[in-house]
Amino acid sequence: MKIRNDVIKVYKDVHIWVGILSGLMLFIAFYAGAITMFEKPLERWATPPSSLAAPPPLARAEVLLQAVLAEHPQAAKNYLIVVEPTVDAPARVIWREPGKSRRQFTEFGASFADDGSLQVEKLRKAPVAQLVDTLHQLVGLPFPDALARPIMGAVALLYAVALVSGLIIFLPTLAKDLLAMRIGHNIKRLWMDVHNALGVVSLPFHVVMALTCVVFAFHDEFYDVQGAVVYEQGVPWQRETPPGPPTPDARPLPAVELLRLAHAQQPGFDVFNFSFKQAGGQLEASITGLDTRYGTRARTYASTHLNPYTGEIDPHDLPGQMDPWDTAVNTFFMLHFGSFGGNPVRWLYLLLGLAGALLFYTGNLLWIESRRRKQRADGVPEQTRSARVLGSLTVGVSLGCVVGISATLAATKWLPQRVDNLAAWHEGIYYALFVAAVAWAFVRGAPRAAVELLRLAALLTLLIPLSSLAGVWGIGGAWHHPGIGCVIDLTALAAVPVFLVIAGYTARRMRVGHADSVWAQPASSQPLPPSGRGPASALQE
Amino acid sequence: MNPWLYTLAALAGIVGAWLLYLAVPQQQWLAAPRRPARGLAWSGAALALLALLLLLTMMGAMAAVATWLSLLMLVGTLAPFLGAWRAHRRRRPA
Repeated sequence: MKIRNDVIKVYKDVHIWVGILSGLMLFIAFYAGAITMFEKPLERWATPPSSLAAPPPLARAEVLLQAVLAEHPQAAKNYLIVVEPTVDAPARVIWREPGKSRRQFTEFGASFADDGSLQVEKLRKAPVAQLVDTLHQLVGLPFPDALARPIMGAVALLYAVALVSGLIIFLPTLAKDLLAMRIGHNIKRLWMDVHNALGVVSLPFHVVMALTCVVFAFHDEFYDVQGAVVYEQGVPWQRETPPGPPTPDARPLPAVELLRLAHAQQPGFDVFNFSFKQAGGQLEASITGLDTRYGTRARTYASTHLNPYTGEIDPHDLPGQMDPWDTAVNTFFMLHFGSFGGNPVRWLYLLLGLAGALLFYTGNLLWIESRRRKQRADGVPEQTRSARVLGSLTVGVSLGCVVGISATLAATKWLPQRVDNLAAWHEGIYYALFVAAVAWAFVRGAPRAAVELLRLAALLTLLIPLSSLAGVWGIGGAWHHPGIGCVIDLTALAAVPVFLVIAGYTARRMRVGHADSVWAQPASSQPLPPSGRGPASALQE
Repeated sequence: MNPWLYTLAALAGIVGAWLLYLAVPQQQWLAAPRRPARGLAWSGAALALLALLLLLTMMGAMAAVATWLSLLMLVGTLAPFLGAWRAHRRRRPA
């Protein structure tokens, strides 16, 4: 495809500058987002064990509920009957008590002790998975949501512009460069191929991410504009027709019966819980679960209304049974969250997310490489200040994010016994490490800091499974949940050699790569041969 | 979902995407490009299509297409790196 050179140059400039402006924030969004694909397993891994006795069978849920309501009548306003209790929802009956704001609440769980007495516990969901998700949503910015979200939206718009401009730049050489990977002495060519390999084939994934991020960031504004321009009388939301009031002698069906009826009506829908609340003197219920054949609007579940007296499910909120408009909205969410196809798709999204993070990293490397002052006969020139600054910033921000997340995850199993405000501690650990890494990158320079921070990342990531191992041995109040928790530990363990190998390659490049580069070892600490490349490189040649 | 069919769809998708990579002149997995490349491309496309059809029998249409595309994109993203790694090993003196 032929495109005029002057047009290409304009798009190249646009691509470069939007990439520089948004790339590092997008790295954080993609790295944290990749981890967020397993938010639920991470939350379970991070939640301390409950002190409640084992949940009674589902058939005894109503007995437990009556015991709870006798001692805690406020629970009747909003409670759940859990079908399959898990580490993060460890009780058969859970209720919520409202906090200061609408979104704040405290959860309590109940069970029967061995002597048949009622046990009640305030549930403690670990906040660390939420922190990683917040980093993802707010591109790592430590600002309040109201400020960070529009910035995230602007970054997403820049990302969309970068995708379009990048594609236009690539089109003229598509046939020659598609899936090419030329590894040789031309480092710029190499980074260009890596950048293209990461970005071109997965372009649909990136387009989806960019568009959905814009919608997530500005959805209030979209609704406002829509309300002002299209629906002057207000958006005509579809009102659900509530079921008629129950007869005076009607009683809610037991959970076992509700579950049986749910399976009969919605085969393939894996039920997690039934939730109930009192509204206008009437009991309202909803059913929550997942059918992996369809994508969901929420990340890990779908929920819809249920008549607690008849067990009839209102399917219009369930994926696969929505009307076309709701299906379109649902599609936006499911494509962003990867909430379909179960764990295999979550792994695909995790790997595509990590590849996306590398795409932004390599974009910065390409910029630096393109501006390299090459060696001449009179010696090795000093690289530009902008290249050195961007090198340090790229290393500091990217590896600061990696190091910060690993550190705060590694602290997860030690904090609950020692501090009260877990969320603040996790946030403090992340940002302390992040800021320190950025400062370190500027103090030490990009090449040395990259090696050191990668080794630190390996060490901190190794501490994640070691903290679970401490839990197996009961050291220091740490814990270990068998089963799903092992996936987190094994994944962290697998990442350790990856960080070390990259650190090894980075150190090697620092020693033997081009001397006329921001990635070369500082001249004061390494004598250089006249070839302009490091000593080992000279030996190889 | 039937896990066997799901696995079969995944295998068909991976092999299909891999054959499509091998059909591209820039591929480095094979020392010499297989001629004619058109056969590889058609086989790859057929297997990729089979993967999509299998997924469509098990999942909602949008979820099936998105799963299929995600798989093809990931294989297509990793393939040049694997190809370059193999070419590098080939070039290395024994």
